[in-house]
Amino acid sequence: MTGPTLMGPMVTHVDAPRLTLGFDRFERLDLDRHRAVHGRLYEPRLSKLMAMADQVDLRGRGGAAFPFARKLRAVGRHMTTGDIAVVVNAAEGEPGSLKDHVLLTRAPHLVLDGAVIAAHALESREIIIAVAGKGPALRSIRAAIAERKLPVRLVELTERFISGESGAVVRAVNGETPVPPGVKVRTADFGVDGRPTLLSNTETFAQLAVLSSLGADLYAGVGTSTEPGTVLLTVGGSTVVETPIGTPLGTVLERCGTTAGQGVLVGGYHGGWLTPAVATHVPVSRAGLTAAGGTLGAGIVLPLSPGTCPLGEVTRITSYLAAESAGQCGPCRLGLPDVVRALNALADGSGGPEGVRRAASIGRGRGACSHPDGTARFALSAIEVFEQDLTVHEVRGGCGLPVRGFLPLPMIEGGDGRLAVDWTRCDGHGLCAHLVPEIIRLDRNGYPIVLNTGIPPWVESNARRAVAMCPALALRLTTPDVRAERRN
Amino acid sequence: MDTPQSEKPGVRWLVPAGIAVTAGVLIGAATPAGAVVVTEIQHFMDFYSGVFTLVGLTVSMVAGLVATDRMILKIQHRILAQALHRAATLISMAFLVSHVVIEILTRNADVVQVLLPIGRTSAIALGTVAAHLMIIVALTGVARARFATGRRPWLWRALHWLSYAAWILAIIHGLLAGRQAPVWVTWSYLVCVAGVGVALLARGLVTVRPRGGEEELPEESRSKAAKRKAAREASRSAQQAANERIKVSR
Repeated sequence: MTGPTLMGPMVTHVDAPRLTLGFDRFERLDLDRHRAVHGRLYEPRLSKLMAMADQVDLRGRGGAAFPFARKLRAVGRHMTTGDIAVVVNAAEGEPGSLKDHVLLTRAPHLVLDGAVIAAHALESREIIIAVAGKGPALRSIRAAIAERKLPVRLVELTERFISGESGAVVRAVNGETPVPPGVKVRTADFGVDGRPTLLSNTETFAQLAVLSSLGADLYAGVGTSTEPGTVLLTVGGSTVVETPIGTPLGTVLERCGTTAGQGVLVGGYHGGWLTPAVATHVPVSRAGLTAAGGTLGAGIVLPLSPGTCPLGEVTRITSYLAAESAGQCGPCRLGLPDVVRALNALADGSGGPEGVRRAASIGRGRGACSHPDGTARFALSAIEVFEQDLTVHEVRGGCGLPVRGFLPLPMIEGGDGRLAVDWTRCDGHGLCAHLVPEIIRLDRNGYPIVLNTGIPPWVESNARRAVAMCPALALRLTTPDVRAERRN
Repeated sequence: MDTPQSEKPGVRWLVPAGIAVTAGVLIGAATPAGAVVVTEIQHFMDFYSGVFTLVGLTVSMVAGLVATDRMILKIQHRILAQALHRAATLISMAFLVSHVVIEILTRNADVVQVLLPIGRTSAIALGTVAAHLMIIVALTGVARARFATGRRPWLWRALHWLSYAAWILAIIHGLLAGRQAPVWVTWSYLVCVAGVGVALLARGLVTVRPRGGEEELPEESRSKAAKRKAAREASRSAQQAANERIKVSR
């Protein structure tokens, strides 16, 4: 076990480490150390690589768990005709996930090995690494590229929850706005600059490198029979742990020095909550977690410590997710604020869990990406797992515990404005609800109910219009920074 | 979709477009044929920019008044009326500028008269006062959001009521100053007066009514919810097929 280092979060492992091999001795594995730890680079041909990936059923580790062999096959069909691009998706947009950051920072050559192996098998001449934000990960991977004199293109992305979706990453690499595209095109056929593209998550490439150096049989030496190998988890938003697939979650939590607390969120903010009893025994695998009502997703595990109001925490995260919507698709743009409203009603005792169920029944697949689905799943599983807390809220109008904000969120930027109503002036004209339905609804008497969240960027211009058009001059935009307001 | 990204290009293109148009006009005026066209336009503007200013002002006032109606109009119509109010004001202000510039260029007025309500005829002085009031109302209108934030929203209303004074002065100015007004112009002035009169009456009636009125909202939201539900059910079967495709690979 390695302690927190200068280079970032704590990294540990259950049983023998693979991806994190050598982390206990070195802060960062430069090329020499990497070769000493992982051995010589072995670059198999496509057929061999596909057979290996097939044998161990290697899946994408970014959340969707798409079979990697199938992806290789889909891109491989273009080998004779197309100029294939290989993209490493390191846009780790989910708060609470650090594994890709840790890999890039401390084992950049393992990720590069994976990319080189895939590029060699596909006879691709371009490797692109999409990294979110500046910082140690970018510096480390840049240094690693320079060490190996590889013709790798680095693309810096702005960090957002939805910017990690594969279509959004491709658009970002192409210099477009990084939001999921409305019309689904297979990246394998039409990706970067319209070329066939192999895009996968950072950990997937690292796993590919390990698979290629160990061989399929050795690789399958740990893990379960259907899901061999190890997996990287980020626990509590602070510790990255590598564990064989199938390890009980309780063991992993113990290794990280924590407990299940009031409940454990698995699969990140698009995942599901588990009760402490279930969380202790459930095996960490796709099948195990799905059967328990969660998902493995990108390996995010967030135990909720005691002493904070679970419902408040869930509402806080749902507000964040609602604001992180790109505002492209109606069911997401209007549906997620509805979920927040229903959760607020639940918290103050004015509504029941039925309201949340109704609001969260957005319907699967009704968006350009899985953001509405995932957010609804998050809210729904929360009201199942925290049922006791809900009853207390319903009866007493609150549980008396403060909302401590234990679940990680990115820092909120300064320009985060809010709409405020001067109730002495408001005359219930209702123009505001028509202009910004995402944030303002009308009550039975025709007066606005303002959702108490920040204004997402895509709502801002309409919010300004609502302020300008309020016939009673009762609406105003408040910003933490008064000078920013004056400028507008 | 209103996003900050889509707003910026509009502003960015505004200045180059303005420069291009100005350059085009100047170059055009240098050629004989172009000079004729420019002179024609100047004549036209000399004749009509004042008229258009007043018509724009009237449309703006009627639209602004109509936008306050809660009896007949639905919310979306009120929003449209407000948008029209702003657009008409902008057009009116643009013609006001051209009117003033042309009157100075054609020596019908001088700069002092534009700044101060003095001069040869009181008709022109009325126009000056009307123009000043219009500018005050328009500028405070632009800064409306600030009044909403501040502690004196009534000040904004008081300033905005000045537009009635501006408008009446502008009409008298239009009838007395310059050329003898043709019959149709006089008629259109009368229509203007009638229009604003009716709109004012409507406003007076509506403010007497108790607030609230019929609640469209619950019914509307219910019907929307019903529509959504219907849409959900209709697409459920389609979704099952789509579920295969929506798996987002990261």
